[in-house]
Amino acid sequence: MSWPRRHHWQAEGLRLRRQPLAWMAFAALFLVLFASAISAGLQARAWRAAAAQDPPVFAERLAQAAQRLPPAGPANATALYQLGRGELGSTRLPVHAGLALGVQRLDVLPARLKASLDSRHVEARDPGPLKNPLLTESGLPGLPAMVALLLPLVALLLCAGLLQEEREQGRLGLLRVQSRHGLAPILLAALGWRLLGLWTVAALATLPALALDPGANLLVALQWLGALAAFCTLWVLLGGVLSGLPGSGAAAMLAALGLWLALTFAVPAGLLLQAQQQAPTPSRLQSIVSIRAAQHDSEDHEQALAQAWYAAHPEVAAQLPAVWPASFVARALDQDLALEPLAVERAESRLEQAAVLHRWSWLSPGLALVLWGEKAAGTDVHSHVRYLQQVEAFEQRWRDFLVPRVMDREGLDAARLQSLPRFQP
Amino acid sequence: MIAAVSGITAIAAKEIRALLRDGRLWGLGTLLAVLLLAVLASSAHQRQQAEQERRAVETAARQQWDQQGDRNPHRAAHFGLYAFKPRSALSSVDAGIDAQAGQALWLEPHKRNLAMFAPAADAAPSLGLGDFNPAFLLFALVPLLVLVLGHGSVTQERELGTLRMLQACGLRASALVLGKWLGLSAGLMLVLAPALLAGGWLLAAEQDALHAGLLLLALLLYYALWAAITVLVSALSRTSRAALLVLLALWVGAVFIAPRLAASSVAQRMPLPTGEQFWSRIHHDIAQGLPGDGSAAERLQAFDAQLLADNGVARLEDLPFGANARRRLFRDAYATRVHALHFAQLWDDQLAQQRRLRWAGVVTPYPAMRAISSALAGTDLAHRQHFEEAAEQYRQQYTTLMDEWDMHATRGVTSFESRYGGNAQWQTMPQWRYAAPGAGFALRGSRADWAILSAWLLLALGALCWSARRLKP
Repeated sequence: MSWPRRHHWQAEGLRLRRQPLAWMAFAALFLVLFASAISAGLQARAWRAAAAQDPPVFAERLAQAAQRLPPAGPANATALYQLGRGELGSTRLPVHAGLALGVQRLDVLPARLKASLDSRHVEARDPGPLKNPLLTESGLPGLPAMVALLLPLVALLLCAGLLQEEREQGRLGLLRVQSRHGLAPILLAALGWRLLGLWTVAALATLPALALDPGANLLVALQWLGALAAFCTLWVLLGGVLSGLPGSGAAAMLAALGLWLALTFAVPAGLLLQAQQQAPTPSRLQSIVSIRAAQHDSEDHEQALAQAWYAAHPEVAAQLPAVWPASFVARALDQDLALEPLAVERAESRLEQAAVLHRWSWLSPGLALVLWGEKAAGTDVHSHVRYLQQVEAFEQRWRDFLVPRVMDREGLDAARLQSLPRFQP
Repeated sequence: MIAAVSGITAIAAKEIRALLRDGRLWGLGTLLAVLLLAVLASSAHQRQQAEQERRAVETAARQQWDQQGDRNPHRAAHFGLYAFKPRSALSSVDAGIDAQAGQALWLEPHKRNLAMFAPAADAAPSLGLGDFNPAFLLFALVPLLVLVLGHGSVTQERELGTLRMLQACGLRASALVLGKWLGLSAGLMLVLAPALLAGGWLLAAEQDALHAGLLLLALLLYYALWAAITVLVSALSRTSRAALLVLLALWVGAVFIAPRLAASSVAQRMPLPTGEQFWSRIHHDIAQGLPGDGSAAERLQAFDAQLLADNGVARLEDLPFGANARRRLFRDAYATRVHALHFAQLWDDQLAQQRRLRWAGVVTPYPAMRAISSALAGTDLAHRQHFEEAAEQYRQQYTTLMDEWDMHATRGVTSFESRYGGNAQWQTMPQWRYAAPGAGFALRGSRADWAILSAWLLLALGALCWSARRLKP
């Protein structure tokens, strides 16, 4: 096979340039991707801005809490208990440099969990971000998903039917006769220009998302450009293959449409089904029955639980019979112990589902691109499960610090509040 | 007039015959119909399982409530009850916002909660372009089939030279395009009717015919509209290829781009408060009081003073009824008022977003169709609000009953550690029964969407007639 030469590039470049339809397709692609990129970039920017406010807000809240802390005694211990259930235990999902490429997941994932002296599985359950479900359902699906939706359509539109069109207009024989090296260099040059055009448009339209995100860096931008190049190449090649098939241009277009529907919608749906069958998501509704059973059990054995806690912590003077809030703390610790396996089971199921999707994502290039984007953003399943584990560890430190002070009913000196554990992912 | 009608009928009959002889109609139509049935059957099965589970969990949660044993009544109230939103049979067709909204509402004293456990938060990674469900097939893929089948309806006549012949025979252009539109719509219906009827039969056992009939009517309007757009573009295009490309662009824009850009823009222009802001405003208003009400401590102090004066005693301990429960009734009534204000504001904001989204998405008929179907399926915002308000009424009812019983069963100040309530008391609490609103509610909520869909159809038919005047061979 011979490669295209200069005159092939010139001729095919001129041909593409003179196609108004191609310009319209490029323009439409640019506009939609640009709008999506701006939206994603602004969302990522807002998230970073809010994250930057976390330390000063924490310091302000801590200072206020220290001011309001009563002198040592039961009132102090109660105030400390309320503090331990409050906003000072807030955390935030750590994100990566490519946040703009997966920021849409923050609309649905619990990304602002709170370490608490209450059970996070019972009283302190996080209802997730406050969003209008209608807008989340019908909103933009994320930048990589928009690329995965539109770029293949434009690629197929520009590439499928290339040769059939020549045949239908009676030029194919002429081309074959005139070209000394056969049709291959002509087709390659035609596809090459389309690839370059698509990649350039996609890159120019989507890079503003990373430019708007102050946390993005050059490396992630280069990685994104590489991913875009691979994605464009694949779809241009598929379009090229379709254009070489026997049949009419219309048939090639229909085949391209079918291919797009299959790879963009049907295959991901099939993979999702397979993942759910392989690792079924534990029922949230069923978990309510377990949660209530744990609540009921801990309430019934409240005093025994407090007694057991004091026995395990001889350094703290036992205050029995335990009264609120000490009795509630012992209960919450027991509830978490009983319910933690459910959370672990859920996390394992999510990880396994994600692993199935990753393993087979090569069957759907669009899905692969979206998964890559989420990973670059730090909003993928692995990162989120890691975050849940980090919150778990932080909560352990949080409770190690506060629980003994609540249980001894003496509380804590205001100055020592400065040693309150901080979430450090 | 008679000649025009007979011309339209003749063209429609010819178009139907041509479509029925076209392998694409049977191939793609049958594929889509089979796919629709399979997806619908699977979705209906999932819904049935989910409903069984909901009923089982609802019963189990209630039994846990009933069998709490000896408890302090306030602590028993804190054990709480749950409200789960039932799913209608039509939600198998269009799950609407259900995937993004919480599945369970925890009802407890002092506080109104947001629904928890949105399925989307637990879902496996996906492209995020929507589920491959009956709604996607009915509202996105069937229109695609329409445009694939009909893009050459007029252009082919032009390409084959028969358009000139038809005009030479005296056939009016308007009769031609209207006949093409009718033929395309009828051909499509012939292929889809068995699947739609079978789908209706699948759902008929659990869904009243009115909701299903209204959905079918909306679908007919929607498909007729797409058929009109298809013939219109075909009439205005020079070649079948150009018509197909324009229609594809319109389809992608109408189904995927415009509604999503509109939703994103509404979310950015009319933001909701963050969860933290929302709850801290409620806490603030309870603690500091609404304007003119004084702080929680001041309110309680005034209330206590009034209580003591009314009962002619000097100490809460001497009151002839449970002081804690009486004070709680007072405090919770205030908290309920504050919650109601903020939740009403939140719902107003969300419904305002919905209204803005409706008008921002008016450039395409797809959002209107989705809104109609989710209203009929009971999976839209209005139904969600109806359910949450009903659950809130129940929360207020049961917490008040618990406190009133506590107040009458005790005297003076009692300890939270004393357990003087039992199963007999918990079992007297009324059961949670939710009655979903009827078709009238769905129609009222979606009347603007019906108007938009009808306007679209009229506009498309008007444009079709206008295109007939410009039709050239």
